[in-house]
Amino acid sequence: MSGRLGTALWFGSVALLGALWSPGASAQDSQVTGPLAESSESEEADPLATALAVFPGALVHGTGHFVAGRSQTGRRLLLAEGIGLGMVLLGGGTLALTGAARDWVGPAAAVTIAGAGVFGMSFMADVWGVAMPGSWRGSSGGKAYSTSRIGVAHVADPQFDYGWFLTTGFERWVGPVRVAPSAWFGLDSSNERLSLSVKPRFLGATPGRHAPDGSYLDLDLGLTRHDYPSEGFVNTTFETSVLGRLDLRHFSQDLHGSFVEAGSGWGLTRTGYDIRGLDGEHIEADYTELLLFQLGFGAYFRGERGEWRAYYDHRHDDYAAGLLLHGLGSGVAGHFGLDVDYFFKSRMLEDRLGLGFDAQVGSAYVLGLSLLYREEM
Amino acid sequence: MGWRGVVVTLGFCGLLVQAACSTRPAEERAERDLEVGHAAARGLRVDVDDGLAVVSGIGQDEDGNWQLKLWSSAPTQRFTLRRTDAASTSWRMTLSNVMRESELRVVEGEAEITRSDGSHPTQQVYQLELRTPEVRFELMAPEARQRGPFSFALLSDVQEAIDRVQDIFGRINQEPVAFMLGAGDLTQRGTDEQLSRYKRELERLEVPYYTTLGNHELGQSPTLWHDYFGRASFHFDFRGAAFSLVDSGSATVDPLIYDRLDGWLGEHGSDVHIVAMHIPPLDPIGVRNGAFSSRNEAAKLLGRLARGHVDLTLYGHIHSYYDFENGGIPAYISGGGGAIPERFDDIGRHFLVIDVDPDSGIRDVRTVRVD
Repeated sequence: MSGRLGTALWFGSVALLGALWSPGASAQDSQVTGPLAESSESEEADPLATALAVFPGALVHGTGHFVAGRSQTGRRLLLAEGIGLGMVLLGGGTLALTGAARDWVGPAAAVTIAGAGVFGMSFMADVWGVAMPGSWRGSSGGKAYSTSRIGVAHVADPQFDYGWFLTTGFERWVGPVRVAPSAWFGLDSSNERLSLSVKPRFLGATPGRHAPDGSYLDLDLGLTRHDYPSEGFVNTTFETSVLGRLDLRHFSQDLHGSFVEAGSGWGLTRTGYDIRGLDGEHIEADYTELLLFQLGFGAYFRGERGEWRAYYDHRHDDYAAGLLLHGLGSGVAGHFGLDVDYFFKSRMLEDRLGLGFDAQVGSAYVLGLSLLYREEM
Repeated sequence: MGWRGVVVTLGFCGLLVQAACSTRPAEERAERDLEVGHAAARGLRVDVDDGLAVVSGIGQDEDGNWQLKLWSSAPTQRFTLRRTDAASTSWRMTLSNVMRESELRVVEGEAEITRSDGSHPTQQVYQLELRTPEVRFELMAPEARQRGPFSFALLSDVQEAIDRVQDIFGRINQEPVAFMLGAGDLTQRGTDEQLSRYKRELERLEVPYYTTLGNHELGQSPTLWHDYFGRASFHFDFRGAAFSLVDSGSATVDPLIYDRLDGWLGEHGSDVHIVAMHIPPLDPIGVRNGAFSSRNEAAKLLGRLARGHVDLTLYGHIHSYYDFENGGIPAYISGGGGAIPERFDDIGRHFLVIDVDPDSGIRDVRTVRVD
């Protein structure tokens, strides 16, 4: 035990240097198995490596894998941390030097958020990779599904009177394009949020065409109408973004069963007010732009039973909206969330029925539970 | 890691989230607002109407004289002094941040008032002989009693440029303004030393300074501000126009403040009404989001201001100058106090001078460049 602890501390102090000069991967590190293979039951969680992946791993990413003897993955995670920090410095430095100037702030903020995302995901991947036994790991199956969901959600937001919502939505494939309407209807208020997304898929599984894994690249065109009758305004948002997922077995076989997601885009919101001015005319609408950015880390459940995902979403216009903090940094960041889709094993229903859970922390706390039904396309 | 590990991990993450985040980060300040202007010591109780002054001291000086010190947050002060039988009847009252022409008078009860000069233009000193146990006073400049046109200045976001702030104060002293309004970020982190320093610098400003706080005042303690500058959210009237200053330093407005704002909007629906706060509900450059954390809350606030027929909204936070509309209301962002500037905007340090006519509205908003 003490030897492994010493190894961890040693790597904690020199790992960054090691990442720069280390030779290629060992055979143990990087043998890629078949495209849809799930892991061996013999892989076990490593409690010491997990603990050290948290600390000092929070500072030196990859520590968990170094301690577990998977040094090439450790070096790659450390390199990812360095790239993330570099992007944060580049983007943050640009923001500082330009004073968040109007023509620079969009790209600079995007680089900063992306860097923070790479930093966060390399940490999470390190912890997950050594904490997760093979018996828990799964794969996506590389199939395209149409998923429908209906459920309830609770939004705890001190700014608004609503609390409970009926949530519903489905996806339908039209060739390689997903059409996905969704809606939140207030159960104790007249608040409602209606969305329609059209998502052409450029890479990944589509109906009738399996993919090697769950990786994909989508374009997302969306229109959302969010009505606040009690406050007399309606937000209508048009948005476009590119969203991709990469199964981390492409990064390292030690991380098979997990994935990262990233997406970036732009939106424009029209806020229309049902309010008349002193002249009797409706007051003019406000138009504001949105920087869209999503970053996520997740993993598949074994047996193609679904997946979980922890994510950051830079949105400031949905129920969770941006993060409120004590101190002087409140308002800039978006919100964090965790969602889980789990499908039950059932011969009669062919594993189609499941439960979805969603939790978000931003200006409000959001908790949702849904019944899921999926159909392979 | 088994299910227990997952549950423990999620619980730990939940605790971290709870510690770092809040859906009401401004609640403590909203509650603290209500304590401002009320204090009791040495047998004397002070109650300032609407909390529009900080009671910054009740005690004895080195010569054994009883002293009362107030820092004013508005042009007009109405306050009540109640003394116990054992308390002194003779008090030396120092009123800071007041208009030079202000006059103190007794409204109820009996007291003898003797005025002497303060140490700087916005300070007045009075020797009070309290003849009755309870005396109600009013402090007001003659011009504040009369409805009519006037001008005021707006300055925000000084922060680390405090060493150069006298340039700006000197320029403001040349303008015919009744007072200076502040939209926050006076300091870099809101420490005792920084708040105290700003007050000292204000001694060379010839008009009083009424201000709300900014996010940079929240670096040390959420409520230290109240000990120096009073309420973070407050309202006053001047020459027929209404002013509401709102604490948006946490990129949100606390529900308690919405309740108070609704009252101010209801009272002044037909008056010229100016609302100032630090972080604007919406950033004209939306991808930057130097604005409220929730666009939905921003729309809620702007809808309420529009419904209350507010005439002008003034903001700081963004270190540049923007002239736009929100909720159909003219809006200005002026963060020209010297904090790290937005580059390439060709603005530099500046302040605004705003001309108001209570009968016709906002007549003019001028940008005065300092550099």
